[in-house]
Amino acid sequence: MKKILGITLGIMTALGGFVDLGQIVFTMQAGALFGYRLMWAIVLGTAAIILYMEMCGRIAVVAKKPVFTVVRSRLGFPLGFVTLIASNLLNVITCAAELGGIAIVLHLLTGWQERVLLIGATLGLGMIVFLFRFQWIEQTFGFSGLMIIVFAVSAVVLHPNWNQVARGLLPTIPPADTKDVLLYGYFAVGIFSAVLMEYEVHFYSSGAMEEDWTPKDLGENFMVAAFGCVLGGALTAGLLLLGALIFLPHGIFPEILSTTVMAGAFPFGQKALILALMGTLACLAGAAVETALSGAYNACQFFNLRWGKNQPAKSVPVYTLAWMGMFVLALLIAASGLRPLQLVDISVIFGMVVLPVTYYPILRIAADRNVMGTHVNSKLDTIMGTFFLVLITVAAIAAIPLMIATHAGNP
Amino acid sequence: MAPQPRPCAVRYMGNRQTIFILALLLAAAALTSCSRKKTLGRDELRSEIRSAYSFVAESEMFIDYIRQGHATRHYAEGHATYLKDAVAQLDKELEQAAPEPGTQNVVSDCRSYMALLCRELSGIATNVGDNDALAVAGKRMENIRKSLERAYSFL
Repeated sequence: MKKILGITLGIMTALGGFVDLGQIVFTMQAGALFGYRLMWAIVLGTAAIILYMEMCGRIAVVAKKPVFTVVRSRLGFPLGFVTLIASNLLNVITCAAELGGIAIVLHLLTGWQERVLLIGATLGLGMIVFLFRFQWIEQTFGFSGLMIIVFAVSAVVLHPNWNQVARGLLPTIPPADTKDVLLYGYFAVGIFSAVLMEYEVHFYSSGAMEEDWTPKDLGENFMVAAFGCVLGGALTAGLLLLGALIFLPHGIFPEILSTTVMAGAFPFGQKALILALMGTLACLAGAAVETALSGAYNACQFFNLRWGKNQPAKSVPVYTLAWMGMFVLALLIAASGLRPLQLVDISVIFGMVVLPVTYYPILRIAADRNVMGTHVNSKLDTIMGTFFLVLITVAAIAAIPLMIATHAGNP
Repeated sequence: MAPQPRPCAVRYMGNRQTIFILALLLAAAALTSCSRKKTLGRDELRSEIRSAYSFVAESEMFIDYIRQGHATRHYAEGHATYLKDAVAQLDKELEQAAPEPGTQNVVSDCRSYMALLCRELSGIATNVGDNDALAVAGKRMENIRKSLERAYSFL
Protein backbone atom coordinates (compact mmCIF):
# COMPACT_ATOMS: atom_id res chain seq x y z
CA MET A 1 0.00 0.00 0.00
CA LYS A 2 2.88 2.36 0.90
CA LYS A 3 4.38 1.71 -2.53
CA ILE A 4 1.11 2.46 -4.31
CA LEU A 5 0.70 5.70 -2.39
CA GLY A 6 4.36 6.55 -3.03
CA ILE A 7 3.57 6.66 -6.72
CA THR A 8 1.51 9.79 -6.12
CA LEU A 9 4.76 11.76 -5.80
CA GLY A 10 5.50 10.84 -9.41
CA ILE A 11 1.92 11.54 -10.47
CA MET A 12 1.74 14.95 -8.79
CA THR A 13 5.20 15.91 -10.00
CA ALA A 14 4.42 14.87 -13.55
CA LEU A 15 0.87 16.26 -13.70
CA GLY A 16 2.01 19.57 -12.21
CA GLY A 17 4.88 19.69 -14.67
CA PHE A 18 3.37 18.15 -17.80
CA VAL A 19 -0.24 19.30 -17.62
CA ASP A 20 0.13 22.81 -16.27
CA LEU A 21 -1.31 25.89 -17.91
CA GLY A 22 1.64 26.30 -20.28
CA GLN A 23 1.54 22.74 -21.48
CA ILE A 24 -2.23 22.63 -21.98
CA VAL A 25 -2.37 25.71 -24.19
CA PHE A 26 1.03 25.36 -25.85
CA THR A 27 0.56 21.74 -26.88
CA MET A 28 -2.95 22.29 -28.20
CA GLN A 29 -1.69 25.23 -30.24
CA ALA A 30 1.06 22.98 -31.65
CA GLY A 31 -1.57 20.39 -32.64
CA ALA A 32 -3.77 23.09 -34.14
CA LEU A 33 -0.90 24.30 -36.33
CA PHE A 34 1.05 21.17 -37.20
CA GLY A 35 -1.30 18.24 -36.54
CA TYR A 36 0.59 15.22 -35.21
CA ARG A 37 3.98 16.37 -36.51
CA LEU A 38 5.33 17.37 -33.10
CA MET A 39 4.53 14.11 -31.32
CA TRP A 40 8.26 13.31 -31.34
CA ALA A 41 9.01 16.35 -29.16
CA ILE A 42 6.70 14.96 -26.44
CA VAL A 43 8.28 11.50 -26.61
CA LEU A 44 11.81 12.92 -26.52
CA GLY A 45 10.99 15.24 -23.62
CA THR A 46 9.33 12.41 -21.69
CA ALA A 47 12.33 10.12 -22.11
CA ALA A 48 14.65 12.92 -20.96
CA ILE A 49 12.60 13.78 -17.88
CA ILE A 50 12.30 10.12 -16.82
CA LEU A 51 16.08 9.78 -17.03
CA TYR A 52 16.84 12.97 -15.12
CA MET A 53 14.06 12.54 -12.57
CA GLU A 54 15.36 9.06 -11.75
CA MET A 55 18.89 10.48 -11.37
CA CYS A 56 17.62 13.21 -9.03
CA GLY A 57 15.77 10.69 -6.89
CA ARG A 58 18.85 8.46 -6.78
CA ILE A 59 21.14 11.34 -5.79
CA ALA A 60 18.69 12.43 -3.09
CA VAL A 61 18.52 8.91 -1.68
CA VAL A 62 22.19 7.87 -1.95
CA ALA A 63 24.11 11.12 -1.50
CA LYS A 64 21.37 12.79 0.57
CA LYS A 65 21.74 15.82 -1.67
CA PRO A 66 18.76 17.60 -3.21
CA VAL A 67 19.15 19.40 -6.54
CA PHE A 68 20.17 22.86 -5.36
CA THR A 69 22.83 21.53 -3.00
CA VAL A 70 24.23 19.74 -6.05
CA VAL A 71 23.95 22.89 -8.18
CA ARG A 72 25.95 24.91 -5.66
CA SER A 73 28.61 22.25 -5.13
CA ARG A 74 29.21 21.75 -8.86
CA LEU A 75 28.72 25.26 -10.28
CA GLY A 76 30.22 27.22 -7.39
CA PHE A 77 28.57 30.09 -5.52
CA PRO A 78 28.43 32.83 -8.23
CA LEU A 79 26.96 30.76 -11.09
CA GLY A 80 24.91 28.71 -8.63
CA PHE A 81 23.45 31.89 -7.18
CA VAL A 82 22.52 33.20 -10.63
CA THR A 83 20.85 29.84 -11.33
CA LEU A 84 18.96 30.09 -8.04
CA ILE A 85 17.69 33.60 -8.85
CA ALA A 86 16.68 32.58 -12.39
CA SER A 87 14.99 29.39 -11.19
CA ASN A 88 13.02 31.12 -8.48
CA LEU A 89 12.03 33.95 -10.79
CA LEU A 90 10.64 31.34 -13.16
CA ASN A 91 8.93 29.58 -10.27
CA VAL A 92 7.19 32.81 -9.26
CA ILE A 93 6.14 33.60 -12.84
CA THR A 94 4.87 30.05 -13.38
CA CYS A 95 3.06 30.09 -10.03
CA ALA A 96 1.43 33.41 -10.99
CA ALA A 97 0.30 31.97 -14.33
CA GLU A 98 -1.17 28.91 -12.58
CA LEU A 99 -3.00 31.06 -10.02
CA GLY A 100 -4.42 33.17 -12.85
CA GLY A 101 -5.49 29.98 -14.61
CA ILE A 102 -7.12 28.66 -11.42
CA ALA A 103 -9.17 31.86 -11.11
CA ILE A 104 -10.33 31.48 -14.73
CA VAL A 105 -11.37 27.85 -14.24
CA LEU A 106 -13.17 28.67 -10.98
CA HIS A 107 -14.97 31.51 -12.75
CA LEU A 108 -16.09 29.10 -15.47
CA LEU A 109 -17.35 26.71 -12.80
CA THR A 110 -19.12 29.17 -10.52
CA GLY A 111 -19.62 32.44 -12.39
CA TRP A 112 -18.16 34.34 -9.41
CA GLN A 113 -15.81 37.31 -9.82
CA GLU A 114 -12.39 36.30 -11.06
CA ARG A 115 -10.44 38.64 -8.76
CA VAL A 116 -12.22 37.36 -5.65
CA LEU A 117 -11.57 33.80 -6.78
CA LEU A 118 -7.90 34.56 -7.37
CA ILE A 119 -7.43 35.76 -3.81
CA GLY A 120 -9.61 32.99 -2.36
CA ALA A 121 -7.78 30.28 -4.29
CA THR A 122 -4.36 31.55 -3.22
CA LEU A 123 -5.45 31.63 0.41
CA GLY A 124 -6.97 28.16 0.07
CA LEU A 125 -3.80 26.70 -1.42
CA GLY A 126 -1.71 28.42 1.25
CA MET A 127 -3.88 26.85 3.95
CA ILE A 128 -3.61 23.39 2.39
CA VAL A 129 0.17 23.63 2.22
CA PHE A 130 0.38 24.99 5.76
CA LEU A 131 -1.92 22.43 7.37
CA PHE A 132 -1.20 19.21 5.46
CA ARG A 133 1.82 16.96 5.66
CA PHE A 134 3.81 16.44 2.45
CA GLN A 135 2.31 13.02 1.74
CA TRP A 136 -1.23 14.40 2.04
CA ILE A 137 -0.41 17.22 -0.33
CA GLU A 138 1.02 14.93 -2.99
CA GLN A 139 -1.84 12.45 -2.65
CA THR A 140 -4.53 15.17 -2.77
CA PHE A 141 -3.17 16.78 -5.94
CA GLY A 142 -1.89 13.54 -7.45
CA PHE A 143 -5.23 11.73 -7.29
CA SER A 144 -7.48 14.71 -8.03
CA GLY A 145 -5.32 15.59 -11.03
CA LEU A 146 -6.24 12.25 -12.58
CA MET A 147 -9.60 13.76 -13.59
CA ILE A 148 -7.68 15.36 -16.46
CA ILE A 149 -7.73 11.92 -18.10
CA VAL A 150 -11.03 13.02 -19.64
CA PHE A 151 -8.90 14.99 -22.16
CA ALA A 152 -7.15 11.81 -23.33
CA VAL A 153 -10.48 9.93 -23.46
CA SER A 154 -11.95 12.68 -25.62
CA ALA A 155 -8.97 12.49 -27.95
CA VAL A 156 -9.36 8.73 -28.39
CA VAL A 157 -13.16 8.96 -28.85
CA LEU A 158 -12.61 11.45 -31.69
CA HIS A 159 -10.75 8.71 -33.63
CA PRO A 160 -7.34 10.07 -34.51
CA ASN A 161 -5.59 8.57 -37.51
CA TRP A 162 -3.13 6.34 -35.67
CA ASN A 163 -0.92 5.86 -38.73
CA GLN A 164 -0.40 9.61 -38.93
CA VAL A 165 0.14 9.74 -35.18
CA ALA A 166 2.89 7.11 -35.55
CA ARG A 167 4.44 9.12 -38.38
CA GLY A 168 4.57 12.10 -36.02
CA LEU A 169 7.05 10.20 -33.88
CA LEU A 170 9.71 10.98 -36.49
CA PRO A 171 10.75 14.64 -36.81
CA THR A 172 9.77 16.10 -40.18
CA ILE A 173 9.96 19.73 -41.22
CA PRO A 174 6.66 21.03 -42.63
CA PRO A 175 6.72 21.66 -46.39
CA ALA A 176 5.89 25.35 -46.20
CA ASP A 177 7.51 28.78 -46.01
CA THR A 178 10.29 29.93 -43.67
CA LYS A 179 7.82 31.36 -41.19
CA ASP A 180 6.16 27.97 -40.72
CA VAL A 181 9.54 26.30 -40.26
CA LEU A 182 10.44 28.85 -37.56
CA LEU A 183 7.06 28.34 -35.90
CA TYR A 184 7.61 24.59 -36.00
CA GLY A 185 10.99 25.08 -34.31
CA TYR A 186 9.45 27.39 -31.71
CA PHE A 187 6.75 24.90 -30.77
CA ALA A 188 9.20 21.97 -30.75
CA VAL A 189 11.45 23.86 -28.32
CA GLY A 190 8.45 25.00 -26.29
CA ILE A 191 7.00 21.51 -25.88
CA PHE A 192 10.40 20.06 -25.03
CA SER A 193 10.94 22.82 -22.46
CA ALA A 194 7.48 22.53 -20.93
CA VAL A 195 7.94 18.78 -20.43
CA LEU A 196 11.35 19.33 -18.81
CA MET A 197 10.37 22.28 -16.59
CA GLU A 198 13.07 22.33 -13.95
CA TYR A 199 10.75 22.71 -10.97
CA GLU A 200 9.69 19.10 -11.58
CA VAL A 201 13.13 17.74 -10.68
CA HIS A 202 13.54 20.16 -7.77
CA PHE A 203 10.20 19.09 -6.34
CA TYR A 204 10.76 15.41 -7.00
CA SER A 205 14.19 15.18 -5.37
CA SER A 206 13.01 17.19 -2.35
CA GLY A 207 9.91 15.00 -2.17
CA ALA A 208 12.04 11.86 -2.07
CA MET A 209 13.87 13.32 0.92
CA GLU A 210 10.63 14.44 2.56
CA GLU A 211 9.45 10.83 2.33
CA ASP A 212 12.71 9.52 3.82
CA TRP A 213 13.50 7.23 0.92
CA THR A 214 16.46 4.91 1.46
CA PRO A 215 18.60 2.94 -1.05
CA LYS A 216 16.04 0.12 -0.64
CA ASP A 217 13.52 2.39 -2.37
CA LEU A 218 15.61 2.88 -5.52
CA GLY A 219 13.50 0.39 -7.49
CA GLU A 220 10.45 2.34 -6.47
CA ASN A 221 12.23 5.56 -7.51
CA PHE A 222 12.48 4.36 -11.10
CA MET A 223 8.87 3.11 -11.10
CA VAL A 224 7.56 6.36 -9.64
CA ALA A 225 9.52 8.53 -12.09
CA ALA A 226 8.66 6.36 -15.10
CA PHE A 227 4.98 5.87 -14.28
CA GLY A 228 4.35 9.54 -13.49
CA CYS A 229 6.18 10.76 -16.58
CA VAL A 230 4.63 8.22 -18.96
CA LEU A 231 1.18 9.22 -17.67
CA GLY A 232 2.07 12.90 -18.08
CA GLY A 233 3.47 12.21 -21.56
CA ALA A 234 0.33 10.32 -22.60
CA LEU A 235 -1.88 13.18 -21.41
CA THR A 236 0.30 15.69 -23.25
CA ALA A 237 0.00 13.58 -26.39
CA GLY A 238 -3.79 13.68 -25.85
CA LEU A 239 -3.65 17.48 -25.85
CA LEU A 240 -1.76 17.47 -29.15
CA LEU A 241 -4.32 15.07 -30.65
CA LEU A 242 -7.19 17.31 -29.53
CA GLY A 243 -5.54 20.33 -31.14
CA ALA A 244 -5.08 18.38 -34.37
CA LEU A 245 -8.57 16.85 -34.39
CA ILE A 246 -10.73 19.75 -33.23
CA PHE A 247 -8.95 22.98 -34.15
CA LEU A 248 -6.73 22.27 -37.16
CA PRO A 249 -9.58 21.43 -39.60
CA HIS A 250 -11.33 24.73 -38.75
CA GLY A 251 -8.25 26.98 -38.86
CA ILE A 252 -8.60 27.77 -35.15
CA PHE A 253 -5.55 28.73 -33.11
CA PRO A 254 -6.60 28.30 -29.45
CA GLU A 255 -5.41 31.28 -27.41
CA ILE A 256 -7.68 31.07 -24.37
CA LEU A 257 -7.66 28.55 -21.53
CA SER A 258 -11.44 28.13 -21.67
CA THR A 259 -11.16 27.05 -25.33
CA THR A 260 -8.79 24.24 -24.43
CA VAL A 261 -11.09 23.06 -21.64
CA MET A 262 -13.95 22.85 -24.15
CA ALA A 263 -11.73 20.66 -26.34
CA GLY A 264 -11.09 18.37 -23.37
CA ALA A 265 -14.77 17.49 -23.16
CA PHE A 266 -15.73 18.12 -26.77
CA PRO A 267 -17.49 14.86 -27.70
CA PHE A 268 -19.36 14.61 -24.38
CA GLY A 269 -22.00 16.48 -22.41
CA GLN A 270 -22.05 18.85 -19.46
CA LYS A 271 -20.80 16.33 -16.88
CA ALA A 272 -17.64 15.78 -18.92
CA LEU A 273 -17.17 19.54 -19.19
CA ILE A 274 -17.37 19.85 -15.43
CA LEU A 275 -14.92 16.95 -15.08
CA ALA A 276 -12.54 18.64 -17.55
CA LEU A 277 -12.80 21.88 -15.56
CA MET A 278 -12.20 20.08 -12.26
CA GLY A 279 -9.26 18.11 -13.70
CA THR A 280 -7.71 21.28 -15.10
CA LEU A 281 -8.26 22.98 -11.75
CA ALA A 282 -6.53 20.14 -9.88
CA CYS A 283 -3.55 20.13 -12.25
CA LEU A 284 -3.12 23.90 -12.14
CA ALA A 285 -3.42 23.86 -8.34
CA GLY A 286 -0.84 21.05 -8.16
CA ALA A 287 1.51 23.07 -10.37
CA ALA A 288 1.01 26.21 -8.26
CA VAL A 289 1.85 24.29 -5.07
CA GLU A 290 4.78 22.57 -6.77
CA THR A 291 6.32 25.87 -7.94
CA ALA A 292 5.78 27.63 -4.60
CA LEU A 293 7.34 24.77 -2.64
CA SER A 294 10.16 24.39 -5.18
CA GLY A 295 11.08 28.03 -4.65
CA ALA A 296 11.36 27.44 -0.90
CA TYR A 297 13.29 24.16 -1.34
CA ASN A 298 15.75 25.81 -3.76
CA ALA A 299 16.54 28.74 -1.48
CA CYS A 300 16.98 26.65 1.67
CA GLN A 301 19.02 23.94 -0.05
CA PHE A 302 21.29 26.50 -1.69
CA PHE A 303 22.03 28.30 1.59
CA ASN A 304 22.11 25.05 3.57
CA LEU A 305 19.19 26.04 5.82
CA ARG A 306 16.75 23.68 7.50
CA TRP A 307 13.78 22.78 5.32
CA GLY A 308 10.95 20.28 5.19
CA LYS A 309 7.20 20.37 4.86
CA ASN A 310 6.86 17.74 7.57
CA GLN A 311 8.84 19.81 10.08
CA PRO A 312 6.95 22.14 12.42
CA ALA A 313 6.77 25.58 10.76
CA LYS A 314 8.61 27.21 13.68
CA SER A 315 11.63 24.96 13.26
CA VAL A 316 11.97 25.80 9.54
CA PRO A 317 11.12 29.54 9.55
CA VAL A 318 12.97 30.51 6.34
CA TYR A 319 11.45 27.61 4.43
CA THR A 320 7.93 28.47 5.62
CA LEU A 321 8.33 32.17 4.90
CA ALA A 322 9.84 31.38 1.50
CA TRP A 323 6.90 29.35 0.19
CA MET A 324 4.45 31.84 1.64
CA GLY A 325 6.42 34.64 -0.02
CA MET A 326 6.28 32.76 -3.34
CA PHE A 327 2.48 32.63 -3.12
CA VAL A 328 2.22 36.30 -2.18
CA LEU A 329 4.52 37.44 -5.01
CA ALA A 330 2.70 35.22 -7.49
CA LEU A 331 -0.64 36.59 -6.33
CA LEU A 332 0.58 40.17 -6.81
CA ILE A 333 1.77 39.39 -10.33
CA ALA A 334 -1.45 37.57 -11.22
CA ALA A 335 -3.55 40.42 -9.79
CA SER A 336 -1.56 43.05 -11.70
CA GLY A 337 -3.59 42.38 -14.83
CA LEU A 338 -0.97 40.40 -16.76
CA ARG A 339 -2.77 37.62 -18.59
CA PRO A 340 -1.80 34.09 -17.48
CA LEU A 341 -0.90 33.08 -21.02
CA GLN A 342 1.50 36.00 -21.40
CA LEU A 343 3.24 34.75 -18.27
CA VAL A 344 3.30 31.23 -19.66
CA ASP A 345 5.10 32.35 -22.84
CA ILE A 346 7.78 33.90 -20.67
CA SER A 347 8.14 30.94 -18.32
CA VAL A 348 8.23 28.25 -21.02
CA ILE A 349 10.87 29.92 -23.19
CA PHE A 350 13.03 31.48 -20.48
CA GLY A 351 12.72 28.21 -18.56
CA MET A 352 14.49 26.54 -21.47
CA VAL A 353 17.43 28.94 -21.14
CA VAL A 354 18.00 27.95 -17.49
CA LEU A 355 17.64 24.20 -18.07
CA PRO A 356 21.26 23.35 -19.00
CA VAL A 357 22.68 24.80 -15.76
CA THR A 358 20.17 22.79 -13.74
CA TYR A 359 20.60 19.49 -15.53
CA TYR A 360 24.38 19.56 -16.02
CA PRO A 361 25.27 19.29 -12.30
CA ILE A 362 22.77 16.47 -11.86
CA LEU A 363 24.44 14.44 -14.61
CA ARG A 364 27.90 15.14 -13.17
CA ILE A 365 27.00 13.99 -9.66
CA ALA A 366 25.01 10.94 -10.79
CA ALA A 367 28.04 9.83 -12.82
CA ASP A 368 30.51 10.42 -9.97
CA ARG A 369 31.50 7.11 -8.39
CA ASN A 370 33.06 8.86 -5.38
CA VAL A 371 29.67 10.28 -4.43
CA MET A 372 27.28 7.61 -5.67
CA GLY A 373 29.32 4.46 -4.93
CA THR A 374 27.64 1.35 -6.35
CA HIS A 375 24.60 3.42 -7.37
CA VAL A 376 26.59 5.45 -9.90
CA ASN A 377 25.14 5.91 -13.41
CA SER A 378 25.51 3.01 -15.80
CA LYS A 379 27.37 3.82 -19.03
CA LEU A 380 24.05 3.88 -20.88
CA ASP A 381 22.59 6.36 -18.35
CA THR A 382 25.55 8.69 -18.83
CA ILE A 383 25.50 8.42 -22.64
CA MET A 384 21.76 9.10 -22.76
CA GLY A 385 22.05 11.85 -20.17
CA THR A 386 24.79 13.53 -22.22
CA PHE A 387 22.74 13.17 -25.42
CA PHE A 388 19.74 14.85 -23.80
CA LEU A 389 21.94 17.53 -22.22
CA VAL A 390 23.27 18.41 -25.69
CA LEU A 391 19.68 18.61 -27.00
CA ILE A 392 18.66 20.76 -24.03
CA THR A 393 21.60 23.10 -24.67
CA VAL A 394 20.81 23.40 -28.39
CA ALA A 395 17.15 24.12 -27.55
CA ALA A 396 18.24 26.65 -24.90
CA ILE A 397 20.36 28.52 -27.44
CA ALA A 398 17.57 28.50 -30.02
CA ALA A 399 14.74 29.43 -27.62
CA ILE A 400 14.96 33.22 -27.49
CA PRO A 401 15.85 33.82 -31.17
CA LEU A 402 12.88 31.63 -32.12
CA MET A 403 10.60 33.53 -29.74
CA ILE A 404 11.64 36.85 -31.31
CA ALA A 405 11.44 35.56 -34.90
CA THR A 406 7.94 34.13 -34.44
CA HIS A 407 6.54 36.90 -32.19
CA ALA A 408 6.13 34.30 -29.41
CA GLY A 409 4.53 31.70 -31.66
CA ASN A 410 2.05 33.95 -33.42
CA PRO A 411 1.03 32.23 -36.68
CA MET B 1 55.27 55.91 -6.71
CA ALA B 2 51.95 54.80 -5.47
CA PRO B 3 49.09 55.27 -7.91
CA GLN B 4 47.00 58.32 -7.24
CA PRO B 5 43.39 57.57 -6.39
CA ARG B 6 41.02 58.88 -9.05
CA PRO B 7 39.38 62.10 -7.99
CA CYS B 8 35.78 61.78 -6.95
CA ALA B 9 34.60 63.83 -9.90
CA VAL B 10 36.26 61.43 -12.36
CA ARG B 11 34.64 58.42 -10.72
CA TYR B 12 31.38 60.29 -10.72
CA MET B 13 31.81 61.02 -14.44
CA GLY B 14 32.42 57.31 -15.05
CA ASN B 15 29.17 56.40 -13.30
CA ARG B 16 27.32 59.18 -15.07
CA GLN B 17 28.55 57.94 -18.43
CA THR B 18 27.41 54.41 -17.62
CA ILE B 19 24.02 55.66 -16.50
CA PHE B 20 23.76 57.83 -19.63
CA ILE B 21 24.58 54.89 -21.91
CA LEU B 22 22.10 52.66 -20.07
CA ALA B 23 19.43 55.34 -20.31
CA LEU B 24 20.18 55.74 -24.01
CA LEU B 25 19.89 52.00 -24.56
CA LEU B 26 16.61 51.87 -22.65
CA ALA B 27 15.24 54.82 -24.61
CA ALA B 28 16.31 53.17 -27.87
CA ALA B 29 14.64 49.93 -26.81
CA ALA B 30 11.48 51.79 -25.84
CA LEU B 31 11.44 53.72 -29.11
CA THR B 32 12.03 50.56 -31.11
CA SER B 33 9.18 48.78 -29.37
CA CYS B 34 6.89 51.79 -29.79
CA SER B 35 7.69 52.13 -33.46
CA ARG B 36 7.21 48.36 -33.94
CA LYS B 37 3.74 48.68 -32.47
CA LYS B 38 2.79 51.36 -34.94
CA THR B 39 3.92 49.75 -38.20
CA LEU B 40 1.79 47.00 -39.65
CA GLY B 41 3.31 45.38 -42.72
CA ARG B 42 1.46 42.97 -44.97
CA ASP B 43 2.86 39.94 -43.16
CA GLU B 44 1.77 41.26 -39.77
CA LEU B 45 -1.63 42.15 -41.17
CA ARG B 46 -2.03 38.64 -42.59
CA SER B 47 -1.19 37.32 -39.14
CA GLU B 48 -3.79 39.59 -37.52
CA ILE B 49 -6.47 38.57 -40.01
CA ARG B 50 -5.60 34.94 -39.44
CA SER B 51 -6.08 35.56 -35.74
CA ALA B 52 -9.42 37.27 -36.38
CA TYR B 53 -10.49 34.36 -38.60
CA SER B 54 -9.54 31.95 -35.82
CA PHE B 55 -11.70 33.82 -33.30
CA VAL B 56 -14.71 33.80 -35.61
CA ALA B 57 -14.32 30.10 -36.40
CA GLU B 58 -13.96 29.38 -32.70
CA SER B 59 -17.07 31.40 -31.91
CA GLU B 60 -19.05 29.39 -34.47
CA MET B 61 -17.82 26.16 -32.92
CA PHE B 62 -18.74 27.49 -29.49
CA ILE B 63 -22.28 28.33 -30.64
CA ASP B 64 -22.70 24.76 -31.93
CA TYR B 65 -21.34 23.42 -28.65
CA ILE B 66 -23.93 25.38 -26.66
CA ARG B 67 -26.73 24.37 -29.02
CA GLN B 68 -25.89 20.72 -28.47
CA GLY B 69 -26.47 21.31 -24.74
CA HIS B 70 -22.85 20.51 -23.85
CA ALA B 71 -22.04 23.78 -22.07
CA THR B 72 -23.12 24.76 -18.57
CA ARG B 73 -24.56 28.25 -18.21
CA HIS B 74 -21.56 29.55 -16.22
CA TYR B 75 -19.16 28.14 -18.78
CA ALA B 76 -21.09 29.58 -21.72
CA GLU B 77 -21.22 33.04 -20.16
CA GLY B 78 -17.60 32.96 -18.99
CA HIS B 79 -16.15 31.66 -22.26
CA ALA B 80 -18.18 34.17 -24.30
CA THR B 81 -16.69 36.97 -22.16
CA TYR B 82 -13.13 35.67 -22.52
CA LEU B 83 -13.57 35.37 -26.28
CA LYS B 84 -15.02 38.87 -26.46
CA ASP B 85 -12.08 40.26 -24.47
CA ALA B 86 -9.61 38.54 -26.79
CA VAL B 87 -11.38 39.93 -29.86
CA ALA B 88 -11.46 43.41 -28.31
CA GLN B 89 -7.71 43.13 -27.63
CA LEU B 90 -7.09 42.25 -31.26
CA ASP B 91 -9.23 45.20 -32.35
CA LYS B 92 -7.19 47.48 -30.06
CA GLU B 93 -3.95 46.25 -31.62
CA LEU B 94 -5.32 47.03 -35.07
CA GLU B 95 -6.48 50.45 -33.90
CA GLN B 96 -3.02 51.34 -32.59
CA ALA B 97 -1.24 50.12 -35.72
CA ALA B 98 -0.29 52.27 -38.71
CA PRO B 99 -1.09 50.13 -41.76
CA GLU B 100 1.16 49.96 -44.80
CA PRO B 101 -0.09 52.10 -47.73
CA GLY B 102 -2.75 50.24 -49.70
CA THR B 103 -3.90 48.13 -46.77
CA GLN B 104 -5.87 50.76 -44.82
CA ASN B 105 -9.21 49.51 -46.14
CA VAL B 106 -8.44 45.93 -45.18
CA VAL B 107 -7.56 47.03 -41.64
CA SER B 108 -10.68 49.13 -41.40
CA ASP B 109 -12.86 46.24 -42.68
CA CYS B 110 -11.21 43.83 -40.27
CA ARG B 111 -11.92 46.18 -37.37
CA SER B 112 -15.57 46.45 -38.32
CA TYR B 113 -15.85 42.64 -38.49
CA MET B 114 -14.29 42.43 -35.02
CA ALA B 115 -16.88 44.92 -33.74
CA LEU B 116 -19.65 42.76 -35.23
CA LEU B 117 -18.20 39.65 -33.65
CA CYS B 118 -17.99 41.37 -30.25
CA ARG B 119 -21.67 42.24 -30.54
CA GLU B 120 -22.58 38.62 -31.36
CA LEU B 121 -20.50 37.34 -28.44
CA SER B 122 -22.18 39.80 -26.07
CA GLY B 123 -25.54 38.33 -27.02
CA ILE B 124 -24.59 34.73 -26.23
CA ALA B 125 -25.12 35.05 -22.46
CA THR B 126 -28.75 36.10 -22.95
CA ASN B 127 -29.41 33.51 -25.64
CA VAL B 128 -28.21 30.37 -23.84
CA GLY B 129 -31.12 27.94 -24.10
CA ASP B 130 -32.62 29.70 -27.14
CA ASN B 131 -31.34 27.51 -29.97
CA ASP B 132 -33.06 29.49 -32.71
CA ALA B 133 -31.43 32.76 -31.65
CA LEU B 134 -28.09 31.00 -31.38
CA ALA B 135 -28.52 29.51 -34.87
CA VAL B 136 -29.14 32.99 -36.29
CA ALA B 137 -26.06 34.31 -34.46
CA GLY B 138 -24.06 31.39 -35.87
CA LYS B 139 -25.20 32.28 -39.39
CA ARG B 140 -24.08 35.89 -38.92
CA MET B 141 -20.71 34.68 -37.66
CA GLU B 142 -20.37 32.52 -40.76
CA ASN B 143 -20.86 35.65 -42.88
CA ILE B 144 -18.18 37.48 -40.89
CA ARG B 145 -15.80 34.58 -41.43
CA LYS B 146 -16.42 34.59 -45.19
CA SER B 147 -15.82 38.33 -45.30
CA LEU B 148 -12.52 37.85 -43.49
CA GLU B 149 -11.54 35.18 -46.02
CA ARG B 150 -12.12 37.72 -48.79
CA ALA B 151 -10.10 40.36 -46.92
CA TYR B 152 -7.24 37.89 -46.54
CA SER B 153 -7.26 37.13 -50.25
CA PHE B 154 -6.70 40.83 -51.06
CA LEU B 155 -3.31 40.77 -49.35
